[in-house]
Amino acid sequence: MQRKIHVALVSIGLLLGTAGCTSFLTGDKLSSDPNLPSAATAQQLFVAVQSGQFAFQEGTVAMMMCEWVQACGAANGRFVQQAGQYVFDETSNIGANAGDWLSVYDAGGLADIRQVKAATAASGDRVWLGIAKIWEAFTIGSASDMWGDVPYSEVTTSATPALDNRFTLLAALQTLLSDAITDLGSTGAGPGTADLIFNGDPDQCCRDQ
Amino acid sequence: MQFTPRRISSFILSALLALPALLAAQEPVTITGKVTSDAGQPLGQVEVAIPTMGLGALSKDDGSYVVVVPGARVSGQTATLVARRLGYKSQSAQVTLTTGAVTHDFVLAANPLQLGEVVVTGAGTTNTAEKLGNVRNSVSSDLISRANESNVTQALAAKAPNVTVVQQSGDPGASSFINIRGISSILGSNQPLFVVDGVPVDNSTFSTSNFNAPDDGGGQIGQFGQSEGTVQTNRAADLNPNDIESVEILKGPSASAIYGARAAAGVILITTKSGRAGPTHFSVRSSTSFDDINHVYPLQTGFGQGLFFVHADTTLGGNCDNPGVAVCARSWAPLAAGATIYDHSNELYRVGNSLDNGVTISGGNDRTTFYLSGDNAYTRGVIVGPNNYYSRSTVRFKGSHRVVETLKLGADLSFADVRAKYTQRGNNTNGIQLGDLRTPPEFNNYPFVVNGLQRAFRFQHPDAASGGLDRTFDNPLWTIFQSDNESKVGRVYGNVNAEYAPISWLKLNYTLGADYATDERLEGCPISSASPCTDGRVIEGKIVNYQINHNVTGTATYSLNSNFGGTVTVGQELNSRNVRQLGTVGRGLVAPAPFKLSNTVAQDLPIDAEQVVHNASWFGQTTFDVYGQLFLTAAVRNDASSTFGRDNLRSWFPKGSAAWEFTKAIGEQSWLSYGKARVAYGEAGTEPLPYLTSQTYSGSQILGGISQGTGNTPSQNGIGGLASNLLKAASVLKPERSKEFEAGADLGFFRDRADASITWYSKKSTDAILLQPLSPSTGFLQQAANAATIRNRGWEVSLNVRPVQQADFGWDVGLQWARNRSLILSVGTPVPASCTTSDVTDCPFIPIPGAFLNQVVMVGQPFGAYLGSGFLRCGVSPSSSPVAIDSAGNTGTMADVCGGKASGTLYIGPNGMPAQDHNPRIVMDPNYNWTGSVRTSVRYRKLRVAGLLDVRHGGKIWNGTMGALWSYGKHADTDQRAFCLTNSACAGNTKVFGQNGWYDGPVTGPGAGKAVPIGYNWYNQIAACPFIGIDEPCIQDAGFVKLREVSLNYTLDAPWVQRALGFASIDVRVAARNLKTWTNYTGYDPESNLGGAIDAAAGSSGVDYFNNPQTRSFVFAITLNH
Repeated sequence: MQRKIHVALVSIGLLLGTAGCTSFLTGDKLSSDPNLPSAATAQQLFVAVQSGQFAFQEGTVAMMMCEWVQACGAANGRFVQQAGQYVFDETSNIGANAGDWLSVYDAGGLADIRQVKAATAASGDRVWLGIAKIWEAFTIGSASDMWGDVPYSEVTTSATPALDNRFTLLAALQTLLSDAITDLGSTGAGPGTADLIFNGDPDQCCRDQ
Repeated sequence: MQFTPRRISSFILSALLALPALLAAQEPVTITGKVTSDAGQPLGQVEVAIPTMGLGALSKDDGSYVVVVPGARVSGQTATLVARRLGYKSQSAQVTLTTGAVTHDFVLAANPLQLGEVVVTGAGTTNTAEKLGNVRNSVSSDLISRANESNVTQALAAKAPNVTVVQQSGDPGASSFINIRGISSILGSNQPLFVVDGVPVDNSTFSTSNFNAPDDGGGQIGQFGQSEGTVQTNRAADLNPNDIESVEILKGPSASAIYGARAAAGVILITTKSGRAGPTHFSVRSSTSFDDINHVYPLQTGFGQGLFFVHADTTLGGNCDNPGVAVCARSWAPLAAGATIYDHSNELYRVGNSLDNGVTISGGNDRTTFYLSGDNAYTRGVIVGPNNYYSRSTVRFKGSHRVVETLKLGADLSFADVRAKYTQRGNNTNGIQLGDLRTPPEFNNYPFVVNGLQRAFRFQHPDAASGGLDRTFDNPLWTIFQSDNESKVGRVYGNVNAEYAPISWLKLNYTLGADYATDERLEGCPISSASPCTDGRVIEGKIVNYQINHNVTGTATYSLNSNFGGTVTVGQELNSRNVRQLGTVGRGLVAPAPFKLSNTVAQDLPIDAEQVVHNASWFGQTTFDVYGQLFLTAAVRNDASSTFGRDNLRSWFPKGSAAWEFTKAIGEQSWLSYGKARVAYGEAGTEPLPYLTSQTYSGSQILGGISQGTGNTPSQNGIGGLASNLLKAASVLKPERSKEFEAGADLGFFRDRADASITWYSKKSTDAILLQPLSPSTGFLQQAANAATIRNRGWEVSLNVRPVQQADFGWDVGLQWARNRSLILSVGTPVPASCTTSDVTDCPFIPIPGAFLNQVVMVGQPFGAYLGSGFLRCGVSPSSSPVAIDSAGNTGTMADVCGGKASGTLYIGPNGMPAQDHNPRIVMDPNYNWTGSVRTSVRYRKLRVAGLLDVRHGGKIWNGTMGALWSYGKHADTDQRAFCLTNSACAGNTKVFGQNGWYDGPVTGPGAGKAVPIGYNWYNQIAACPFIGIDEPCIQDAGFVKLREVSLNYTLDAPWVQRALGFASIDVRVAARNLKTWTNYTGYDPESNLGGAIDAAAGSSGVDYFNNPQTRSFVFAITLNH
């Protein structure tokens, strides 16, 4: 009896000693978030970009422009800060929604446009790459229309990107659009129906307009 | 061998022949006697045992005991009989085991300092009380049962210095938050780790509102924000307090380092009751309590519904059946002619009651012990109606069996079934307080259902077609009777364990524990409720918590010679925690009932959150005793956690302490019977939240939008979309590290007639994790980083005096006092020189995640200070603030009016009113200045009277309820009001600021000394802090003195009790809980916290906004012991 217990205890000890510790700590659902995907395809990101920019253009941009030209008013404590006091910066609206610059630069904005560009450039789909460049010019161009000088050239290189002079920035966007026209004329399957506006047709999209 | 008849008969024959010889040897020995204290009082519950034989018994309440030694083990030998009981010095005696009866009486000397008693110190280690290098705080089962609390966390209130417990509200099952020595983590829980019989258990609190992010701003990272919805309980409340034998509190890293990365906030070590060798012991316990609210909200009853002295048109077809009409919202008009007044401050409440019935059976023999208990505690809350209760049924079994002399196996299994219905409250238009306290005095809240739909003061004539129309605020009775907020918990936890001692100096312990709970939640909001659920809404969800823990330790005891010895412990712990939260919201009920997701028109994307955390740890501890008076302890733990991130898997946590019993060196003095000096240092951690090092994409994050619900999801047109998460993955995260130094002394005076303990500590928490804001143009909003440094330091003093200790009469008094000072040293960004304690404009800070107010972690301030808004005051507001400097309205600056004025002088504008300081400042520190308690107990024969005062001094609370009720013209203060025809055209009820009890203090400015009317112009336009944003008028003192416990206990153990009733003793107890509160706070209770344990754990306490009241109780209990 005593002997058997000794044997059992020693075996347990060995078992514990040899159990792989690393996989116990870094295995499935441990190191990476099991609730959310850790990778996204060009199509998934591209749909989110369009979705995000629809919300931005039809929400913030439309409402602010309407208030600034005094065609719309603020009421019941809502939008008073922006409309009444013209407070409008990178953190305005953070309380009411995700924040205005988050729509421009972050999720569904420039951050995801850049990832679409990287993915389509890697796969050689120049048509889709061209469309993505147009979205980038549209998004940043709209931001510059509203705020004037906005960050652009240092967006990926600095933790506190500097504001670009508006005219320098527009020139850069013009170059980007010229590149996009070239891209649209080269090869690539394009986004197809994932292009929620033109079904990925480069001709409709922008080339001749 | 075959049993043929012949063989059997010969077997019986030989057995019969051998019988006389066997009988002689099998004569059992009965050892009897009586145990008394040195004061002459009979002592029950004394364990009298022969440890070498594993035999023993408990003494009865009259002190008598009986130990029976089986005849088979009697051979005329001498054995050591030991008598021990907590609080007394154990005593041993040699008895000779010869046939027949042996008598031995024990007289035990009181041992109030509990010297020589074994103290569990965590992770399988033990020590004796006098060798501890840390201050010891333990809570006995006696003190827990005297608290009359069903929630063990609440039962710890005022039991140890700097152990602060705050109950969310008086709702049955409301969470209690426990914190030791201050808040030191921004994202961590700040509550101690709960360990039951060596196994960590869950003590989380989860708000059902977190399943409903669109309406309630539920948290994505952690569980933040519980300002809406219902209260919820904390999971430690699943324990039956009657099963607890003792609680040891490891207050900080200097004691808790042995638990490493989970122990920065301390550890609560709970040991449950076990069976003991001896006769089987039964007890039956029943207690009942009657509860009512301890404070009635002060409301005015002299003014009616309307605005600017114009009564609202409340007739059918009038404008009070349209949501959002201002004239109908408030009570700023005369009462309607002939109106009846309704008492809205009382109509929601009744005398609640609770009934707690339990049975315990325990016992055992020399090899096997068992403890079995069953209990049901049912509390019917003080809010009327059937939907306010908390019912907990628990079953517990604990057993052990000594298989062979060297091996003991044990098992410990608990089951809890908790069912509760809660009430909507808080910052919530469907909450009962908001609707009730705002109801005009002349509106009868009955009937609340008309045509099956809601009738409320802002919607007085519902017709059958008004189902989907907003009532703006719910009629509280509608919420109480028609909505349904449930939690159903099934929980199993326990462990199997083995204790193996192969050789005399080595002991191995193994514990494998598990804790599994599911909590099913339902919130049903009926059709025709106030927005956001006018069409009805159902939230269904389930929370699953599953924890497995493996702990193995080996302890070797060594002795170099008679002067040097000690122990070495080495152990390993593996821990796995799995949390799953799955729930969704159904919007728009199809039929009015049932509240099921399948009966809703549309459903939100489900919340499906899963978290898995694994730890693998090694630890070792060694103690070294020198000359029996110097006791050294050193320990180290190496923790690996999956939350640290791949590149940084392991972390070290050391600890060391020394205790010197100097009275052994200098000898006992006439006045000093015991003296110990101690120092300890330790480090412990707080784990990062999981997955902060993982970069993810989201398919459900809402993009853009100008207000809630107007943005887009990433998926469009049936094509799945994914957007980058706004939270940037941290490249590396370490555990937060708290380093604590503690020093103190424990003293016994006048032959232990009195004892005192004093402790100073300083705990510096570095690498505290916060979500650092990033410039949005970088592509992300925030990123977790080890950035903040927080310090907590303070003093803890306790003094116990036992002036009278006689057989028939005893009296003791205990005092405790503690203070903790919290200070933020860094939030990871440089501190400009312009940041000072008086001008915080440039001080770096982080808002506390999910806080209801702008409570912050700001450099130079205590944790949770509120960065809010106050009035312009000299020396407080910037001297450059522009103000009117004369009655003509010429402008200057504060410097112009503050010359020669004392700091804090209130600026009064030309209109005679104070004005807002637009420079945000720290307006409130919610932390108590000091806390203390006074306990006393008087015993006369079998009667014991005991009391406990809980004292908390300083600290502030934001009384938002009061500010809102000022605005609505409902607070009792508005009984005195000026007659206002517009926002500013008022007459009557004049006051002068700074005089006659109206904002007393020095004033300056062009309007100083001017008498101004006080009415709507003040209460609605300036003082209504939740709506106007000037917090100063709403900040009140949170200090209080509360008579926590009063009890009167009588033990019937006369012989007739046994003869007539068959019980050894009967305990009868009459007690009261929270009987009286002394406070300057004008709301329900200063011990109130809107966000409960969730918000308090994040450091944002001190907020009251339409939270439910606290209760007081009278308790009657009877325990029958057999």
